[in-house]
Order: sequence, then structure tokens, then C-alpha cells
Amino acid sequence: MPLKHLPARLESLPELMDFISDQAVQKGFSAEAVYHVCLAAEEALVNVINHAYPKASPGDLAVQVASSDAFPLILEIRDQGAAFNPLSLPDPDLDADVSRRKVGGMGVFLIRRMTDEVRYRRERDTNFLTLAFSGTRRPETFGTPA
Amino acid sequence: MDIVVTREETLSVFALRGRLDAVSAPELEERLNAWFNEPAANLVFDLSGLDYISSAGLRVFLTAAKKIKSRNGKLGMSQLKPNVQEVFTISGFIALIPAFESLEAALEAVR
Repeated sequence: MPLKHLPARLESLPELMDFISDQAVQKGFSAEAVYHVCLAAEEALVNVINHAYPKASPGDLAVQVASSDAFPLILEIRDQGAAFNPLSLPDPDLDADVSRRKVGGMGVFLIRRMTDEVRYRRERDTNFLTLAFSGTRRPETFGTPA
Repeated sequence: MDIVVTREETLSVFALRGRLDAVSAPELEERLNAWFNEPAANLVFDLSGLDYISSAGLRVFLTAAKKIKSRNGKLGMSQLKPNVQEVFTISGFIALIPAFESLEAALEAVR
């Protein structure tokens, strides 16, 4: 199964995104489905880049690609930073007006909306965030997963 | 991402092309900060060439919307591509920045 890992720095993002986009294209995903994969993946990768490690000493950021019967594309994003479950964050207040709308919280919200299934687990020193994509989900069916 | 800024006396147009992601968002933020140092009050984002936006881009738009509001200016955006429109819609940001189907309509509303 394809694996790519790079230092958890913003400079690594374009190469990781190209890798992920290529994987979705190889699965035969539509342009729209590839967009959803890229968006969810960017949000997950940027969370690791911005928060997992001390700024001065970025550790490893790995993307492992897998698949199952239900999900032709599964991305497992791994880091060895501080234990953190991004799915524990509350949804942003989508109805707030400009003055009260907060800038944070959108990344995890978009991950939830763009994936068919998302799970977090911590094993030993490693955070695993697993994003699963059917490639056939329509935007209008997007909802907040349980 | 390419950013082309067109200035008039009271109105500026930021035309964005390509990808507005975590890598390119700081560049847009910098250009906007420079623009906010000037007295112009009204701003239109021409998004006809924007192919991709993530939360890093939404964040820059929200900051701009807050600043424009605080100086009683007007803000609009035009010609969102379907994928970009979808991100604005599900994030609720579509309600924060008026969206128009043509640049002319956006300019008319903001001028």
C-alpha cells in the first residue's frame, strides 16, 4: 500500500497533496470527489503541521493509503506529536454573523463533511486519523457523522 | 495562486486564480493587509479563476469581512466555481459575503 512521509512542515504540503490527489484519480474518482478528498486531507495535514509538534522541531507526517470494499480510498494520517483527537472539537456556529463568527474550528468541520467516515485513535506514541471515502457521496447528502 | 489587484478610488477588485490553500493563504493575507492600510473602503473578490479553497482561505475571507465591516465598507464576491461555492455554502460563509453571478453585478452592489 502506498505510503508517503515528510517532515510536518508547510513546505511539505504541496508534495503530500499531489500524492493524495494522484491516489484519488487512480481510484477513478470524479473531479468533484477528488476535490472532496483533497479538501479533507489538507485540513487534516495542516492540523498536524500547525499543532502536533513544537515549531522548531517538526517531526514526521505520514500518509498511508489503503482501501476496503466499502471505501476504495482510505487515508491514514499519522504523527508522533502530542496526543490530540481533532474530532473532540465542537462544530463552529455556522449561523453567527460576521462580527461574532470565529475563525477557528472550520478545518475539522470540513473534514467531517467531506469524508464518508472519519476515526481517530492513539496507539503508543502515534496519532492516527483515518479518512474513508466512497467516492460516490453527493454533497447534498453530507451531514455530521454520528 | 495568482492575485491581481485593480484599484479605483473607492473600490478595489482582488482577482484570485488557482488554489487558495494553507500555502497560498498567507500571501493573500499580506496583500489584503497592505490594502487595508489605504483608505479605500469597498472590495470585490473576483473568484472566476479560483479552483480550490480550504479553511485557510475561508479564514482570510472572514478576517477581511470583519475589517470591512468595522470601517463601514462594502464587500462582495463574484463567479464562484461549483466546488468553491460548495465550500462557502456548507461552511455558512455564503451568508457572510454577498455572492454575485457576474463581476458587473458585484461591482454595482458594492460601488
